[in-house]
Amino acid sequence: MNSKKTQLAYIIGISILILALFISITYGVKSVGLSDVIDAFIDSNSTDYNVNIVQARIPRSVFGLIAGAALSISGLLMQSITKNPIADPSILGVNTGASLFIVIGITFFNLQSKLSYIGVSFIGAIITALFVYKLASAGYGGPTPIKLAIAGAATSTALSSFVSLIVMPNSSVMTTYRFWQIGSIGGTSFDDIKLVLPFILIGIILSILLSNNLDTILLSEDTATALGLNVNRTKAIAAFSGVLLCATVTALAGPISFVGLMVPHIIRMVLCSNHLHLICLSGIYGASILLISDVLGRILGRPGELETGIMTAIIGGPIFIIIIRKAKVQSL
Amino acid sequence: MNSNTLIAKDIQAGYGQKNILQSVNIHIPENKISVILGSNGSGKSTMLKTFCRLMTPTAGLITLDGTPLSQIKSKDIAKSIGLLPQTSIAPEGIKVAELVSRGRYPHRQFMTGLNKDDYKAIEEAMEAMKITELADRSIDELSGGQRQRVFIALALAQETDILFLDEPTTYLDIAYQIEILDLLKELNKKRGTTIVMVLHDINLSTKYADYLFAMKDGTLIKQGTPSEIITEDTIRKIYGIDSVIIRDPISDSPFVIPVSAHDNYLS
Repeated sequence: MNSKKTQLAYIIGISILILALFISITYGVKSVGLSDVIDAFIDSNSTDYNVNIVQARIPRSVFGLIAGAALSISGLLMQSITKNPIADPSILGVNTGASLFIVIGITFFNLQSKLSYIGVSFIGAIITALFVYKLASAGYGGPTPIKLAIAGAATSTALSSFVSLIVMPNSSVMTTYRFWQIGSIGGTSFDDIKLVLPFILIGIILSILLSNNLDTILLSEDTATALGLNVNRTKAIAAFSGVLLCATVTALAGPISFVGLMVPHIIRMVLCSNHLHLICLSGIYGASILLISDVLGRILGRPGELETGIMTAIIGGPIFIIIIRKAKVQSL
Repeated sequence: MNSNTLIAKDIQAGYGQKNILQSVNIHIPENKISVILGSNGSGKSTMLKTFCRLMTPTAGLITLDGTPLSQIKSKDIAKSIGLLPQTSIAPEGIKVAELVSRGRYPHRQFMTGLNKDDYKAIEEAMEAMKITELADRSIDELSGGQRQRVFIALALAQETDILFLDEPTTYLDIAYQIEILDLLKELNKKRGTTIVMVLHDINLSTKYADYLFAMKDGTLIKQGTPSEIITEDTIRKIYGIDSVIIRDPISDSPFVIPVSAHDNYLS
């Protein structure tokens, strides 16, 4: 059921994304013009200063695009399988779990390659996700939004104190960790993009393949089973994709919060619940929000810049409060 | 359209260690409306859940046209057996037509949109439940009775020959109850859909059912047409209460009047 509203959402989304990409490439401590961007694509060996700036910024923008889309889709998947409007990688503590494992990897196992970061990040994320879900499921009523939020916040706080415990006495780890921990898409290279792309693509493709199943899973579990859906398998694959997406981004950019919470929620609110569209639109708008946050960070943080993770938290915090107030309804 | 013979042989089922169903044998009457009666905890819901494979029998066998359910692919079973569970939930703000379209899940191919057959089934299901004019409304705006009709339409869009309903009239006032049961009766007459329901209201059960199953402590104690099995004795056995049975002046089906302790009535 392809409504006009959905088409409009795609058109607006893609326009915003293109605009955000353009601003992200041109705007910064040193702003450049459109001609420089075009030159950068025409002549990749140019020695012109502005053209070089553009070339240096492109990986950052592309990575921001990928990270935003991945985080947003990750949040969407977590919300759908927990039937919980406030599920999100940061609220469930999944990001912190990933952080802890990376810090342990760096400090005790001397991990250096970014691929190994992604590996340990994934393991940490999946363990935390399972733990928080189990914790919130205990007691009457199963994992309600509030219980999930509390379990996630408690776990996240506990885990981040472990992180501090390991990092504080280690000044060398501290320096690397400090920037990573806030969540930044600056300093990413094309090599990083090549590295994360396969993981992100697996996550996104799996979730698109699951879209019919995810539509069905939003009904009651009994209905879904009666419709012939293998509920547990669908949940497991969706959880795997969701954790893979957020763990991969977290491994390289650090924990960037709230993107996965607000974007899918708003799209769901405005457009309802067809997962194929939800996934695509969450990707598009998530990428835009992350790029815009990154640009805002550069504007507000002048002459330096504010990290992306700070900006998404500034924008996302109030939205989180609005959502949690609405979440009394307790269903998607 | 021959997949509608559903038989349970010696099935046992329960939660954890506790067996609720004790060796039940049932042949669901084809193209009829059956109602399962029983007190709370008698195992009627468990039986319905076992038929709809929400619970796996710990012993015994359920067969659909002679093939054990465990040997049929879940999506293929879903083309023959539909269910309206006790509580249905829907994503917030979803439109009625879209919600009904979710019933097409077992018929849809991997990664494809809705095709002509899907749209036809959705339309027919909405017509059967008289909700066509609600198609573009959001589910949140509907009354309890309308919502229940939408969820039944979802199960109808599944186009199954057998439909199970777990207390479809609970929480609805008498007008909605009659409305829903009338629509189900019509469905049964028009399409020959086999309907199996759990109902709490005995008198509505006798009015609408062709066949009754009476359960007590996880066993089937009686089965037959309402006139055959509804006696004061059966009611005492099922619910442990005294009653007087009269004839419903309209449908001539048995009508049960429970006896209260304050009635000063000696049976």
